[in-house]
Parts: sequence; C-alpha cells; structure tokens
Amino acid sequence: MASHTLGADPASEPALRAPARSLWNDAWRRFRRHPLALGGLAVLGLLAVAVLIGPLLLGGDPDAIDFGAKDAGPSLAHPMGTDELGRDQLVRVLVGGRLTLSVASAAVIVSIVVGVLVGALAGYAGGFVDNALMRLVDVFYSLPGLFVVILLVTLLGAGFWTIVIAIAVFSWMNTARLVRASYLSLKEKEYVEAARTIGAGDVRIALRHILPNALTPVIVSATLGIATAILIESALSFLGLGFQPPQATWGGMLNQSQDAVINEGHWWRGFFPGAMIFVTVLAVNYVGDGLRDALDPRRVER
Amino acid sequence: MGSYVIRRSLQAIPLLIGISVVLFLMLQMTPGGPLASSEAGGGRATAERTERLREEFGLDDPLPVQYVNWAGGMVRGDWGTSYNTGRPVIDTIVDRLPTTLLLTGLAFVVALAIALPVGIFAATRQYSTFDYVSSGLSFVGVATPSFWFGLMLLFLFSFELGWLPSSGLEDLREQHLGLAAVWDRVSHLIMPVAVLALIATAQLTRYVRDSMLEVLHQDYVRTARGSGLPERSVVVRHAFRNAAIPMVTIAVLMIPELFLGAVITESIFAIPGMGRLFIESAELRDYPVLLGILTIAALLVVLANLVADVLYGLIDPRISYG
Amino acid sequence: MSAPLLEVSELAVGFDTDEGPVQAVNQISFTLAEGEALAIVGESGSGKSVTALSIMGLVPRPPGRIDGGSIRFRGSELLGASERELRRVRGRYVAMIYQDPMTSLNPALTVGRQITEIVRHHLDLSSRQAADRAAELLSLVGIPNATGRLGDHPHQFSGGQRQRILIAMALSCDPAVLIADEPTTALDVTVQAQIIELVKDLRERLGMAIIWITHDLGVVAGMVDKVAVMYSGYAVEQAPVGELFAQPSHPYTVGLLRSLPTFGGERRRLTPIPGAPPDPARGVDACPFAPRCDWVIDRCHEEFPDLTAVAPAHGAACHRRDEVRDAPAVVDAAR
Repeated sequence: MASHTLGADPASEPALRAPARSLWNDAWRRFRRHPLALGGLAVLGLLAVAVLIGPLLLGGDPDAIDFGAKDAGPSLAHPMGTDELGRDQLVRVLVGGRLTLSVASAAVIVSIVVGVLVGALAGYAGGFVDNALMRLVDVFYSLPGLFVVILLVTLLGAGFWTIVIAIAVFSWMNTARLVRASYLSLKEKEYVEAARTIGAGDVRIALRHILPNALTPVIVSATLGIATAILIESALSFLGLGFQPPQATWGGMLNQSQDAVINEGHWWRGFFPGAMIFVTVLAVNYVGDGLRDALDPRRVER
Repeated sequence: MGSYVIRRSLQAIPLLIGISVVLFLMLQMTPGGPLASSEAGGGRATAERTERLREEFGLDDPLPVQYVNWAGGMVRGDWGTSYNTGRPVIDTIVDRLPTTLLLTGLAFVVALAIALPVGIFAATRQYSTFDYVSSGLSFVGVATPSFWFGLMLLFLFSFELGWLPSSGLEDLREQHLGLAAVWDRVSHLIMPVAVLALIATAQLTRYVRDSMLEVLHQDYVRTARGSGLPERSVVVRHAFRNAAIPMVTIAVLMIPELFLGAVITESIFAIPGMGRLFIESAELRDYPVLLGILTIAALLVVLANLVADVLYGLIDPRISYG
Repeated sequence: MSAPLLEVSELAVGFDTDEGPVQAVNQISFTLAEGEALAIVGESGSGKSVTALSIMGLVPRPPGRIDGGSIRFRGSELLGASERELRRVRGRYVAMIYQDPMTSLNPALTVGRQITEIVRHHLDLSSRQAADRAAELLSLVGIPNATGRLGDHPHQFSGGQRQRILIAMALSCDPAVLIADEPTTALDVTVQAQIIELVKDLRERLGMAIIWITHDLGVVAGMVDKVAVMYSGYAVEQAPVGELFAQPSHPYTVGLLRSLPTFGGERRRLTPIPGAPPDPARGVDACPFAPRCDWVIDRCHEEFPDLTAVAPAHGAACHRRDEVRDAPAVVDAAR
C-alpha cells in the first residue's frame, strides 16, 4: 500500500530506531506496565513465603489443641479464629496452603509435559499420527472432567500423585492443541525454510526455532492452569474426596467447617480458607492476564 | 441442512464409542477390579456372594466381551442394574436427572439474562465506569470458588438472616399450599442457582463484552455509522448480529459445564440430583450407575457440540450446508 | 458563487498512542464547491484518511482528538456537533466509501437490507419503495440482475462488486458530497479502472461533489478539478489539477510526478523518492520533507515553511517554491 521505496538510496536511510532486543526483555517491559499483574505477582510471592515459613515464624502448631480458646472468632491472638478444638486457624490455613499449592504446581507441570509431547508429536509428524492424536484430544475433551476426576480419586485412593495425575489428565489437551497449532503454523514459516537451507536438521529446527515461539501461549496457558488446578483440588477436598484429615488443604478445611458455619454461625471457619483460595486464584489470573499481554507475539514494539 | 445434521451426528458416533471405551477402561483400572470393595452388595460380601455376583454381572468374561455386552445393552436401553440397590440403572438416573436439569437450566437462563445486557452495554461504553466495574466483577467472579461462595451465602441468608432455607428442594416438615408452596420451591432454589450461575455468568459476560468489542471495531460497523444510522441499529443489527455467531457456540457449550458444576452445588445444598448420586455411587463402587451417569454426561457434551455447530451454521450466512 | 459546500479550515487532529501524542493532521484547509471534485494525495501516514474521517466525524475518540479548526458543511459547523446532528448529515448529505470493500459490508445481512435500511432511515421510504430504490441503485452501479441479487449476502460478490455496492449505498440518498477513501487500493488493476470510470460516470449523471483520496497521483488527472498534496499531516501543495501537473511548486509533488510511469512520450527512468516517510510521533520545527528533499537548503532545517501562494489558487509550502515552479516540466499534463 505504501508507495515509498526503502533502500533506493541507502545513504539517506533513517537509522533503525531501536536496537534489537531479546524477546524476554521486551516481554518483561510490557509486563511491568500492568499494575494488577505486578500486584498479583507480589501477592503470590508473599503467599509462597507465608505458606512456607509462616508457621515457623508464628511458632504455631497446626494441631495444638486448646479447649480454652475453642470456637473463638478472629482476634489478635488468633487472627483467623479457632475451631472446635481450639486450634489456631491461621496456622492451619498456612500449612494447608502448602499442600494445595504443591498439588496445583505438580499437576500443571505434568499436564504441560504431556501436552507439549503430544502436541509437538502431532504437529511435527502430521498425517495419521496427527489425526489419531487429535481424535484422542477430542475424546478427552468430551469426557466429563469433574466426574472423572472424582471417579479416579475415589477409586484409586486420595494420594498426592493420584490427585495430581487426575487433575493433569484433564488439563493437558489445551496445551497439546496450542503446541500443535504453533508447530503447524511455524513449520511453514520462512525462517524454518531458511534454517533448512543452511543444513539444520529436523530435530534442531524443532528445538531451536519452533519451540521457543510455541512456548509463549503455553506459558500463559500454564499460568491459568494453576488457577484451575487449585480450584479443582479445592473442590475435591471440599467434597470430602481429596486429601483426608489430618492432611489439611483449604478445600478440606472448608468441608470440615460446613456444620460450624451453617448451623452455628462460625463464619470465620469457612471464610478464611475460602478467601485464601480466592485470593490465590485471583492473583494467578492477574499474572496470567499480564503475561498474555506481555508475550503476545502480535504486539510489535516500535 | 438436514443432511448436514445427519452427517455430523454420524461423525459423533465414533467419538461416543471412543469415549465409552475410555470410560469403561477407567473403571477397570481400580486395584482388584470391580467388587474389590467389600461395600458392594450392601457390605455383606462373602467369598460365595462375591463369586455369585461375579457370575451374575459377567465379570469373569474377557474385557472386550464385557465391553460389548455393556455397550450393546446401553444401545438397547438396558443400562444394567445397580450393584447397590438392585434397581435398574435407568430408573435410578431418571429419578435424579430432572432435578439436575432444572438446576442447570435455571442457572443457564440466569447467566444469559445477566451476561448479555451487561456485556453489550459494557462494550458500547468502553472505558466507562460501568465497563471497568463490570469487567472487574467478571474477573473476580471467575476466580471465586463456588463452594466458598455458597457457604458464605448460606451463612448470610440462612443462619444470620434466616431468609432462605439451607438445604433440599422443598420443605419436608410442612405441606404448603398455593403461593406459599410456590415460594417454598423458589426459595429453595435461589441460592443453589445463584451459586451455580456465578462462574458461568462471569465468564459469559467477559466473553460477550470481548466479542462485541471486537465486532464494534470492524469496518462494517464504521460503514453503518458512516451511513448515519441510529446507534441502536448499529449496535443491534450490525454489531450484535455478528457477535452473536460465536457467542451462541460458547453459550451452548457452557451447558455441559454447568451440568458438571452442579456436583458441588448439590453437595452444599443437599439437593438430590445426579451430582450427589455420582458421588454416592463412587463411594459405594456402584459401577453400573457410575457408567450410566458418565454416559449421560458424555452424551450431553457431544450433543451440545452438535447443537452449537448446527446453530452456528444457521446464524452465519457465510456457511451453507449443501 | 454562494458559500462553498464544504469548508475545512485549519483542521488539526491528533492521536494519543502508547508512545505519546501524535499529530496526524496539521492545519489543513480547503474548500469544496457544489459539484466540484478535489483529490487529496499522499503516502500512507500523510493524514489524508484521517482528514476524510474527520469530516464524517468517524475518528474514534479516544484515542483520537480534534485539536482545532473547523469543518463547515453548508455553513453549519460539524466539529463539535452532537452525534445526533452528525447522523442527520452522514449518509444523507455527505457519504463515504472506504478502502477495503471486503470488510466494509456487514457479512450477516443481505445486500438489499444494507441499502434499504439507509434509505428507509433517511428518506422515510416504505419497504416497497426502498426495495425498488435498492434495485435501481444496484443497476446504476453496474450489478447485473439487480433485483435478483438484493437477497444475496456480501460474500457472494467479488471485491469489485462489493465496492460498487458500497458506492450504491453511499449514493442512495443523493448526497451532495461523496468522499472516496482510496476505494481502489485493495482491488486489482483492471477493476480499479472500472471503479474509477464508474465514479466519473456517476458524477456526470448525478453532479455530486467528490473528495477523492489516493496515494496515486496518476489517477487524479482525468478525474478531479483540484488537488491537495499532503505530507506528514501537512498540506504541502494545493492547486487546480492542470496547474499542479504543469507547474508543481513543491519538491514532494515533483517527486510524486517523477515516480509516475507514463505511456507514450519519451522513455525515462522511474525515480522513486529516496528515504521513508517521517515518523509522525516526532515533532518538527523545520520542513518535514527536508530529510528527503532534493532542493534542501539550511533554511529548511530551521524554519517551517507555510503554505503560501505561488500563483492564483495555487499554494505550496516550500521555501524555494518559486524556483521549483520554474524548473522544467516533469510530466506531460495531458495524460
């Protein structure tokens, strides 16, 4: 459309404005512009620290029974109140977070690994393999996710890895599709042709040229996947099917608090564990949103 | 058009077969196979009884045979008998299905009723306070665990204020008449529907807004405005008409999700629906019932996809099905 | 002659971008009389499209802002008028056709509907009358089997046909001004010629005034009465069309003329204009064309050249305008 002619007179060519920058620097700069995403990152950082060393700092014991302080609402001594055994809820919540967060992280990692493998295989191999794998993806998409997760956990027992795998089994498909799509579109791109002409082998092409670009949507998807994993694990625990006491997770605490909240009005028993889930998921979502904007390959920096 | 529907339905069959195989296999995966749990048959399993049950349910046959038997039965309408109650699976399911469908349907309607006007309005008033607030609320809504929301609602409206009942579908203690009966049913449904609809509404609002925004920036909307047409025509006849095409698909695909989400809602509010049945059956290892419910859920997903596809073709004039 | 049909004075339009405010249009002024045809010529980024959109009030705000000036249509001020008032003018007295016919029509509505809704809204026709008018318009723009095709959707037409439909829509209420924003840029060369012929023909028949926006100076010769050349948001030369071709008075115009291929006449090398258009985000305290100019002197980097007359009705924004004007002719004016 433009009718100017670049390169007709190299001497009068305006100097390129910006020096070449790496993709990641660009992305970080853009990410920094989203206050909510930065806030989310800060919250998550705080959370991770609190969950890991908070109980130690507070010197509390999640199982310490103290009938004298039972069923108390939030106070200075017990900022999140106590339960019917007088256990401090704050410490229990922090300790419970460890399990929830580690399950969610593990589940996301597993689902990403599986997704990348399947997607890359399908994208690069093409043909029958691609077709077959995509049919498999379709089948998994059609499976009633929550039901099957419940089923697996009930039948196989509520262990750490069972739950992780159960959640991962329902999250890998999205990654697979994204990775495959990236492979398909990038396979044809010019720089792959260029790489081929200088003799780069197939595997090398796959790893050095295609994968980094394919990873971008995957990173965003993974981040948001953490939020989903947290919600699923909490839901499972809430239904009484996840980790069993004394292993506590936020969902489990919510489950055990039902009676206290509904029939005795001890709202703090349900409010705080749930709020933790809420805040964590919200923070992760903000970060994921910020990442999506920051990593969007369509946004060209001038 | 009709031939397209038939073709797509036929395409769905291999999918259904694939799903059923996967489901069937999953159930076989449990350590010791079905009936390993001593709770089967009412907890009175002895070696003899187990043996008899094994014969009766054909559990000693090779897997493929079992699969074919089961699948064949399903197609013929024989969905097996519950290990637990001995009643036909279909009866058990039919008992509970309408409740869940009611819940799901109501939640869907609520979600649409809120998401459409809010999303469209926010898109037409981009950058306004309304837009920021509604977008913020949607974002927050998606992050809210439904069970937490439900629990807090219960605390507020049931315990604290006493306005709404805390469980079940109707008052089991008294028999209400007339308007009171109506309020009785309605009041039992308000919170469960609200909880179930929460996430769907938030997601749908975001989607409606994004879809409308994208369409509002299209060239043909500019053409319509440039022709001096009133803003309402532009928004409804030009923008929305086009935005609705993908929206319909998303909305229809939400129905199976709502169906699944009902599991949690039914749990909190002690509603006798399919979700509760599923959990109970899972704990009791009642495989026929489990398979039955899973099949229904899978059928629902496949059906929703089909309907979404067909609707898309109906609304988008660029697509014609020879 | 009474007051001009359209009068644009000192129009300035800016945009707020991520990198800061950008001035897209800087103090453009021109007039358009009844039935007169004006061409606005410039590269992409010169501000020509924004000028056209501003007349219609279609510049999205935010991020756009009107920084100053006035646009008067038949004496009424359009800038700052309410949406309701603008809607009365748009489509009815001032109509526009756009660059990309593939995306400018609503894919979900029939072509007939898109035309009838305009005439029904502005002219209050009954559905019967509107349908007749729509068929009439489609024939007018050269769509065969007009009545039969009213029920078709845009995707059933080719690019050239879609542009004709857009023209039909624009002319549906017999507007006084037709603004054509690069209507042929997205079309094949042969189709381009057809559309240009169509517009010329329609102008003869219907007598509306035209603002024809293009980057291709070659198109305007047989089409318009006068030309405004834009560069980097400024009007750098304005003249009647014959004058412009015969005695261009701005180096940029000269450059444009030199880069036109011509048929017949002596063979000469096509000379592109070196360099690239400036980044509108950069403010200028000097002539914006200086970096690419063959005629540049020191003064060009220090002082901004205003648009000044070199001849009656002919203005150029160059410090050396008279010298440029007197240089030997570049192109045979009769093209």
